[in-house]
Amino acid sequence: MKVAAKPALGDTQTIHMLPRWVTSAGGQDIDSVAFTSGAALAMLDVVLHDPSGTSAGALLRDRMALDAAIACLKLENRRESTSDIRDAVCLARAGEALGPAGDMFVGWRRLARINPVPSGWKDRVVKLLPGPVAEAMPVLGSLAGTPVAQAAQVLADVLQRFPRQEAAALMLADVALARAIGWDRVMPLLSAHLSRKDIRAIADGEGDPLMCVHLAMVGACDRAIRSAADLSRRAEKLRAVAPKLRAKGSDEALALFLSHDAVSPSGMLSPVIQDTLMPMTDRAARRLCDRLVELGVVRELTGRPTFRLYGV
Amino acid sequence: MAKETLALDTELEDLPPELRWREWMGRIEAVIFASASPVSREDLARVVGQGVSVDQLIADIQVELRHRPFEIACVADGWLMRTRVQFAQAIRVAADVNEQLMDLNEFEVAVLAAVAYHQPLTREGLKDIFGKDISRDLIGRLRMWELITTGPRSPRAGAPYTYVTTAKFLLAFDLQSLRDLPDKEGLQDAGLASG
Repeated sequence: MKVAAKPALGDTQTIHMLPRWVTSAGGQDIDSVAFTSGAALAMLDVVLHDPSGTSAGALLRDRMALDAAIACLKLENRRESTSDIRDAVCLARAGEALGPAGDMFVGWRRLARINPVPSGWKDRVVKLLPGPVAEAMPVLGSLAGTPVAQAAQVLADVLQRFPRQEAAALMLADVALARAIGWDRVMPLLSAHLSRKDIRAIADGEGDPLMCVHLAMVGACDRAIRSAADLSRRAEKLRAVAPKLRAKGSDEALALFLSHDAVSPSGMLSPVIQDTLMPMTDRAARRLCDRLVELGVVRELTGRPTFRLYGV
Repeated sequence: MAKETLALDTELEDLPPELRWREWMGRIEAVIFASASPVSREDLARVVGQGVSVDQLIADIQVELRHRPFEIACVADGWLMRTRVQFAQAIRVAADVNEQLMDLNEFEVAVLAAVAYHQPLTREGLKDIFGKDISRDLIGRLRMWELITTGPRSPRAGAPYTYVTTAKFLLAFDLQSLRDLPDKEGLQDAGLASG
């Protein structure tokens, strides 16, 4: 990565968390909840605004996708953990089935890489949805109102038509939110912050979707902002060591670390670094990962002596 | 399924709307009838006009099939034509379909269910569940019937394969997705799980 080690002082670097008045505001009426969720979302919008490319947006979205996948699996009565998902995704070889947990994560990961603004976003989103929901997309009503209202509208609409397609409904709600705000990537926000009870109530046409989504938004923004601050700091450290690495392909490897939740040296760095043409031997990949751990910029995620996975 | 990219008039603009709709219905039914595996909405959409609702067409076909012994069913993200359940007995008595029947015994079904619920799962994992080794033959049969396939390798010595269920599994058990597997409550109601 040829980015200067010393990042320009971004104004985004100063927001590490939401102020207390947002996160622990009293009052459960729609006015106060909408007020705090609006404030939270505005702050997240600032955090995600990253013209200089110094924050760790791609990595943040990947981690948020992981949270979303776990939440959606729970809604489907599956109990896979973070490490189950990482193993499935990192240890499967090309063309092999990933299993339900891996598929769920990959769906969210792809969603979080979609730019929902230019035309063509719909085709890319449709590919991630189960057939019946994909078909119904054009008839999902045109959206109006604030970004949160639009997300709530889509969520309720899809859940009421397809009560058992929670993941699809949540994906489309996050897409609606990103589009209404004008983000250039979909950010998985809502899934991990809506309870099963809320989702069932909305599907049954009983709950108050707008209220639920506003409440979820405060928690989601809080989580995203904290993670963003943490990951930007880690990403900065990682970029700072780039000049010390002499291994061929280390720049490409670092780029992989900065966009993927977990990296497997044997599967993703060798024989070629994923998404590039850069060759790297198995041994070089393992040595690079060891070196990054030694430098304190990457962690080993599994605690296993073999089949290790590494992440920022 | 070999698909050729032949020029097909999908818009049918020279037909009056009603005939056009009938032609589209006919095409959908023909494609599903001729296909050995479920046909995706994407594929069906290729034989009808741009933006025409495949679901609407299928709904209309289903109305016409109301009194017929077969139906169009949506399984595993696609549609297929199949005989109605009430004729199962009659078909077993007289029709020559033995080769297609996967005569799963009770234990094979149990192993399959274990994979469905706990996937990705290795043979070692199955051993933990059943308290005995699951033979490679049994796994082989489930694979031959394409009810399971290999998933990601398990992170342990020897990197054994895990097994995961397939689209054909969903098809065979009439599930639209794994989401339709009975949950704990459903299993308890059926007397298959203890509280």
